[in-house]
Amino acid sequence: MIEFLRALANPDLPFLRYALLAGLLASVAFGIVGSFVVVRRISSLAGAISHSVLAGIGASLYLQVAAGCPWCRPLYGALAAGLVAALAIGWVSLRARQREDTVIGALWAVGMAVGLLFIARTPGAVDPLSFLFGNILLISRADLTLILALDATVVIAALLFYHRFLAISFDEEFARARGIRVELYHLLLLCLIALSIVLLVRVVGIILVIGLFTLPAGLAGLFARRLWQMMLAAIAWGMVFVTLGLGVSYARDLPTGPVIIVIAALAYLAGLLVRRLLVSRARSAAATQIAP
Amino acid sequence: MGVAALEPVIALRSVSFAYDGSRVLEEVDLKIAAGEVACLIGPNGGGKTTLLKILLGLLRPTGGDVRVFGLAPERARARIGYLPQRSDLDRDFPVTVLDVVLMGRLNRRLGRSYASTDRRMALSALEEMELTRFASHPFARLSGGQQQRVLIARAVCGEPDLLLLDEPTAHVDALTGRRLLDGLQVLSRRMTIVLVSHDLGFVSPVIDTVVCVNRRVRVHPASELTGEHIRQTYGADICMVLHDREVGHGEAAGRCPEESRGDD
Repeated sequence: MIEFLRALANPDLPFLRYALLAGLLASVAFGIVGSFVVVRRISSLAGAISHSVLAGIGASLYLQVAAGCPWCRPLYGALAAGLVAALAIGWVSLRARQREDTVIGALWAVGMAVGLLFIARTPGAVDPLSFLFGNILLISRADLTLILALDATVVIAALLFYHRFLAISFDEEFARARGIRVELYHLLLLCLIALSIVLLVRVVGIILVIGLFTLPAGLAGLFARRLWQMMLAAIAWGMVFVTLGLGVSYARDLPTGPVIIVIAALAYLAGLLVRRLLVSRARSAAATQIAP
Repeated sequence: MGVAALEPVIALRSVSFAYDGSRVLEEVDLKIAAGEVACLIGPNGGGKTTLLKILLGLLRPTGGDVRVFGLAPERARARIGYLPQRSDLDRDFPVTVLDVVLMGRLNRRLGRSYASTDRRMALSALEEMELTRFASHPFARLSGGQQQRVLIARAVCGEPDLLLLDEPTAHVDALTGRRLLDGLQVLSRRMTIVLVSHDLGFVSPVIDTVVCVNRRVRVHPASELTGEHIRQTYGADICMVLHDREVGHGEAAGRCPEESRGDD
């Protein structure tokens, strides 16, 4: 770990600092939005959105390299594709009740397929793997500015609509009867998911990003009594996982995204065990209280 | 309540509703006066829940006219409290009892957290349901009956003039059910109540009107209800007890026989 700290301070390795900063910033958005994903049980929708992002990345790479539009950076493509996918998938989830999971599964695959086709036609050595699983070496200073702006947008929107998102997640029917426009907020939440995904495309990639929605929030949800407590804990856990993951991957020369996800998953498993212990201890304590 | 009684709280005129081509409600006429407590009964799939959702403006009728407080249902929502049919709420959802009740005060202004009036109203609704000491408990830890009372508190904490309850006594044991009814009796002094219930014998002490819903609707004063009406509505014999005959607390009140608990 000391080695990692030294590397962070090394002026020749700016990408490490960028990656850590991106990860820490993204943890805030992921803790908040991820908590909504977990309590609203829409991780399959989030998964579909993240995979569809590849279509935008592929298209913008193609435009950048083959069609000569230098301003068309992959993150912009990811952003546009993420928002389009969020609206399309949201619309499907609202309209196609019976066949929802079929259509979502199809969009999931089509998004990736389109992205891979674009990448295949893009001359030069573009490695699709770096987008699928993340590659912190590719983070630039300009990316960081975009990440900061997206992060602020997501956090502000999520806090502004906190009570509404909570209400539609807990009891959609009642929220609707209270005059809340459930469809609108459902779509808005999916758009916030899309923005968050774009934040971490570079660090963990579009395939593994779903784990950062569900694992920190899931772990936090095991012990939280209220949604905002779950969010705070999820943010903290996210930051721990990202930092540890970067450190381990640097020290052991392993890919960053998978290391972060494995660490998060191990922590989640440990959390499950701890909760089981706590529950059974509480039960036996209650039993001895009742017994004279 | 007496002054406002001139105009009915609920007025349906030849309302029909069809879902995917199959008719759920046909030519429904219904008037419910202010202060009345009406119970919707009828077989599963007979249209009880559909009727409630039409009153809330959640479903639009395919024909006919719906007025709630003389308004289109969507515009009357602010005056309506609602207990949805108990769906499978997430057992692990991280909310406290007070958080849940406060959802009944959700307003149109964005981003604002709840004001102290909202909090006060929510706490007094909890007090009415005798749940004050659970205010900061996780909702998921409560028993089914307690959860149901929390959801009723959520429905009434917006100070509605009309309360719509979809199966408030379902999944609740007899003792809790009785406490629920006591709560309803208190509420009925200040608001009109329409509830869906399968346990007619059980709710009968509180209700004024029985509305039999099975695609068509027939209305009976609770005291006039006879086995013949029930037979017509359910299409089968069920035994029941009229509410003008007092039943001791220990005795089992007349109960509906096993009904098909199919999808509603």
